[in-house]
Amino acid sequence: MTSVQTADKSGRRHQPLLRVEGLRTEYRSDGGTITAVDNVTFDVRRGEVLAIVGESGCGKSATAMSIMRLISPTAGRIASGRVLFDRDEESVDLLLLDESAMRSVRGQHISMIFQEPMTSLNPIHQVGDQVAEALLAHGLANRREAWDRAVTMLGKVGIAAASERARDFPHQLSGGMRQRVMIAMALMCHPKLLIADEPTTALDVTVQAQILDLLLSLKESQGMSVMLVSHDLGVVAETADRVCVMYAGQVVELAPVRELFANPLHPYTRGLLESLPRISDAKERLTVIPGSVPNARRFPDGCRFHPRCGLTRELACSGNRPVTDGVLARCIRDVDGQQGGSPTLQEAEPEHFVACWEVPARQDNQPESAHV
Amino acid sequence: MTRGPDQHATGSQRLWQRFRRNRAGVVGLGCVLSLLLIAMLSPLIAGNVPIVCRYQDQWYAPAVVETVRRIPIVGRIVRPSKPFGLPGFDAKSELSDADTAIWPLIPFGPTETSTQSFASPSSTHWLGTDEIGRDIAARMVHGTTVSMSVGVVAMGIAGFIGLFIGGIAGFAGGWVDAVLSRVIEVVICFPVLFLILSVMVWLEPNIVNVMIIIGITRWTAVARFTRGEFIKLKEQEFVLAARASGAGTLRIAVRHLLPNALAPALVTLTFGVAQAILIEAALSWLGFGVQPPNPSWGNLLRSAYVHLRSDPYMVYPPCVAIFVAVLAYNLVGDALRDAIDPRTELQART
Amino acid sequence: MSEAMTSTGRESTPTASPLLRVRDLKTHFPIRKGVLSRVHANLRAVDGVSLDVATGETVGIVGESGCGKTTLGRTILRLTPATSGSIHFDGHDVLSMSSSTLRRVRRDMQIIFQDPAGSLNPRMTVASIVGEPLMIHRIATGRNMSERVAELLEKVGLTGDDLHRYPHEFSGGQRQRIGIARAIALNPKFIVCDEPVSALDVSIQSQVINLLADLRGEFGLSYLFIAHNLAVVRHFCDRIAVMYLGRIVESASAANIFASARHPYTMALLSAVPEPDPQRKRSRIVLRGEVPSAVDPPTGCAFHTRCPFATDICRSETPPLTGKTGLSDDHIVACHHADELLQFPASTDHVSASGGDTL
Repeated sequence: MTSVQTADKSGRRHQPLLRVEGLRTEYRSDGGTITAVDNVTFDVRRGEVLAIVGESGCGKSATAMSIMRLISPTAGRIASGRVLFDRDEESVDLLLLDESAMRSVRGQHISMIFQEPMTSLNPIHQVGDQVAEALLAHGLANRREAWDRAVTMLGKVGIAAASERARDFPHQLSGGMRQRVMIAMALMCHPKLLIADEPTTALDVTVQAQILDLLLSLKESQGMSVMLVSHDLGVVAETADRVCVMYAGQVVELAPVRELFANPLHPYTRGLLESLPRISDAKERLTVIPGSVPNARRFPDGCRFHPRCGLTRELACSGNRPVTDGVLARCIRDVDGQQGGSPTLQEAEPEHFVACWEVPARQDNQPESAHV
Repeated sequence: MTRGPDQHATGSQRLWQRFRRNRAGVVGLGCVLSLLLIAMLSPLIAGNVPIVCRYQDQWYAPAVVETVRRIPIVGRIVRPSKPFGLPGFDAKSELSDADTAIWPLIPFGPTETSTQSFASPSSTHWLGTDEIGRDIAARMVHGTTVSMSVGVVAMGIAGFIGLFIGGIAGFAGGWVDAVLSRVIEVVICFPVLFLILSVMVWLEPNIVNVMIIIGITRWTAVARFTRGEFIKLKEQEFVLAARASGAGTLRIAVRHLLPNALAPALVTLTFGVAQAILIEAALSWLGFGVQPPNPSWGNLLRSAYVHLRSDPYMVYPPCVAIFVAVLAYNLVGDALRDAIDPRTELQART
Repeated sequence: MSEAMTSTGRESTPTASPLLRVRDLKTHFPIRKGVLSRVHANLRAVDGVSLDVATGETVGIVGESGCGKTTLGRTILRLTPATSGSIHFDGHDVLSMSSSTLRRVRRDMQIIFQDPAGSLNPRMTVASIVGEPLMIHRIATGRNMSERVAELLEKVGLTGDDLHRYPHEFSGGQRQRIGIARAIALNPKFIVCDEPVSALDVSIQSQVINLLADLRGEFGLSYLFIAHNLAVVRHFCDRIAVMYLGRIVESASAANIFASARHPYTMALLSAVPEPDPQRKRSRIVLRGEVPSAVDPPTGCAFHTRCPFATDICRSETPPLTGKTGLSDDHIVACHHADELLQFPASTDHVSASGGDTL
């Protein structure tokens, strides 16, 4: 593995803002450990929206929490991996920072907004104070200045009469307004990266549209990158530049958004896209992915998608490949018959990475471009 | 991969799996079970009649009979084993060394006196004897029966009243709830100990009355929890689903609400047992509870207190017993509360 | 509410009477305050809804949270008391029937809930959950009952082995299947599906929708399908009614709603739904603000506070729900300006009234 040093100025432009490498996060649970995030690698480039999409239990939120190092030691731990972040022209591994250095990264360089804006705001403080808090916590302004800047920021996130609204308490605001306040809080220190964990899931569609538009316009005006965690492929299609699809704790596909929706390569992504009912065309019957979302306590061996995979079953029927339990043996076991690991993420098309045994890797694969 | 919880476990099995993780709770549960066992088997542990013996060419099991006879209702069927149950029959003098006899661990009855008064702890009298030569160890064992049965029976009564009144208040809502809630609040305001003291002036101070009076004054916490649970549960969709299927009021209350409200009530009752044990001890100490010569932890403490300066060894056994019992029930209650609280379940946020 | 009455007359199908006929239904929840808990206001969850569901028909109800769609479904089943109006189901007057008649009628009308975990009693086995309706109506007992339950489970894609397991042992999708098995246990004619797939994972949603469609075909069921996901409704329903603040603002066949929506709220709703297709960058009608409180709904057209086309008349007069020129017979809209909005089909680029919340 190549170590990432502080590269010279000319090389900086091509360096990603955030690079997650081999991240593995474990949670403690009733009498056992759950590997919620398993060997996850991706990067977030400057100025882009990277969407992490997946179903419940796929590890998408755990990935976001791991990057922020917000996993409480009683709940779980980051077992291995690196999270390289370009902080002030210098690449640092967030996982190696001590707690006080990490605190200064949170809010100041990387901010996060959550799904539930009600519980993320403190009910007993005025929203203006809560928005100003980030500046005070990082010692970037005095009280008066912080308040003024909080009011300005509330205005920027589309809250009318911001100077009056700043004196409101969270319960006086509607759900969409609270999410705007959360965004204002997150952006107070002009972070370079905003992690948005299901930011619109608790909101109605018409309000969701407002918030997504707001996020995109702020991304442009603040010049930041956004890591959007979502389960909604519609939201992802309309907001993301690149998409990272997760399944059962692993990244199964990573591609630019148009490429992913036009040419999904992983059988899971393909199945997911086919199974969606769409407004634009009414089909008689929906295509389905059989089976249920795997439980993190018992991920299947081998390729974790194999019990639900249509491709491996289809190929198994063709009869000229070794087969185990109705699926291709390769999907469960290694060549030497060992209980298999999961397929690794490989570049199948330019910029398009897939983790599936049946999708051939690109032949002209340059060593440098193997770095996502 | 390490073992996870059994996915096929029933609700109570899962409760046990979670309970087990709390070590203090498990120790507490061990203490509680031991105390209950001692309470149930006290004639077999301490008594002045043998467990089994051969007397005048016949086999007898007087202590076993005595144990069985103490089971309510069933015990009535079993007649006392003559001549051992007869007053004035002294098994120790009647049985010669030649007769086969297995004696309890502590071969003294709780009210059996001896010439040795104020004997310090020794190999004969493990915890010594009191002012009229009764064996303190034997009295402690039989006192356990009193304390445990007061705790369990009183809380049984309290649980029944609490579930009933709380259930009705929560299920009916409206003015019924308003009236019952005020009743609950009024009962909460009673200073229990003083109420019991005043009632005991009118009633005969005995163990049954103590149980009843604790039971009918200590149900409020259960009632309030049950009311809250019922109110929460009756809005749940599975209750709506049952109504949509045509289920009647009684069915909904008994099949859908009550089983789900039992666990929190159980927690409250466990804490209540500890309270009841303390109340009983206090009453007996004051002379309003179990009457001498019958032993209870409270009146043992009382008689020890009188002789505290001259014979301090007498005070430790009841103190330790009360402390251990109250602590054990509280530990179990704590662990049970954590086990039924879904928030304590460590779940991966993904 | 005479407007609502007139509107419904137009909706009647050629066949005699619909399976379900709701007229001017209102469900208000009193809001009590103070020591004496006096009613100081009413939350108008459902505020004058009329609709018909024909035998074998699936009617979709869409709207944002707080529009009253869930309350509407529950009121129809008399799980929530109605304030006024009438509900006729299969010839019976649901609101005035005695409790014993209601019990009988409930065999024919069932409900499926959104939250598959909350709608199953955690302390009952699957056998007793699915068997409970059979037991209540004394349809089957003992061995008969277990056979019937196993049969029902197989219908919904579970196996007889699952009989003695508890709800927590199942995944979300499987739990929803148990809920569906319970709902079809009594061979009902009509099922209210209250957001049956919103709580499920994307890959599971399509499985459950297909199951509901299969059951519809097999038993000739009618559904009232409540949802906020327009794509699902489009796929599943024959007719769609859009609700806003307790009222239906537009109703038409599924195809017509999507092709020629005429109410500005419907248009905004349609344009706000994110499509899983990055090639289609449509411009949205981004509405200002959020749904006002149903305790004190705006006067006139309830939508006027957020409507980009609102004029004075919208603030003072409630628009009737009626047919408009150029629309098919079953297409009714409650908008003063529906005729003028003809030239604004929802799909083309136009107004982008973006901007922040205004209060």
